[in-house]
Amino acid sequence: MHLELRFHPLADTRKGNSPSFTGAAIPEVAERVYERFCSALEAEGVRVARGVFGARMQVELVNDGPVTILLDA
Amino acid sequence: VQRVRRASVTVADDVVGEIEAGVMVLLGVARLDAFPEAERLAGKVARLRIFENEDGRFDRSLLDVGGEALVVSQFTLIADSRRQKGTRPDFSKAARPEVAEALYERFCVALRAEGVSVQTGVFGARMQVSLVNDGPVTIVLDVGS
Repeated sequence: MHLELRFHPLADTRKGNSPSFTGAAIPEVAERVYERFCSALEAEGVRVARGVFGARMQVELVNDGPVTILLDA
Repeated sequence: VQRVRRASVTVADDVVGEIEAGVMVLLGVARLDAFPEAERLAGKVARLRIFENEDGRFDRSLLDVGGEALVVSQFTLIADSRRQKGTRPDFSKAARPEVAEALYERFCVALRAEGVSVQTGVFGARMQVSLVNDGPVTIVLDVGS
């Protein structure tokens, strides 16, 4: 499993054309929660590869199906 | 909506849609959706400012940068993870395929009418969607009532 951090899904796009990210956690908090999530997933027995928190990244993938699920805990 | 450097979709190893820089749109249609939602969503996708200007700020839209769009139907997005019980996603709020396909087609027509070059997958087919998400930037758009 490959993990990516994305604060953009927290964008509120109901008003106007510019996404508002005010619902996203501050980066220090987000990074800790992201790390905790990765650790918890590894503890479940899943092999986890990570991106670099906060870095500009290129994410390459082949979505099989496609199958895309929004999860909100 | 994912900002991409490139994206393509294959059905049984045949490439049926392919774009260079722009957006990958995975489109889910819910039961209560109708033509106005499809058209409103097309306008949002065309004008959503998720491309950087010279200062690195999200300031430019797909129209501004002349980007392309690859649109693929994705009913699994309609699963309601907050209300579902257990671990199997509940897709009961997704529109029936006949309705979903008509709205998916309307969305594509509306996006082309905005001036965007649109490629598509094959509705209902098993597909492989390859992409390079640039950023990454992924935005969840919901125009449902």
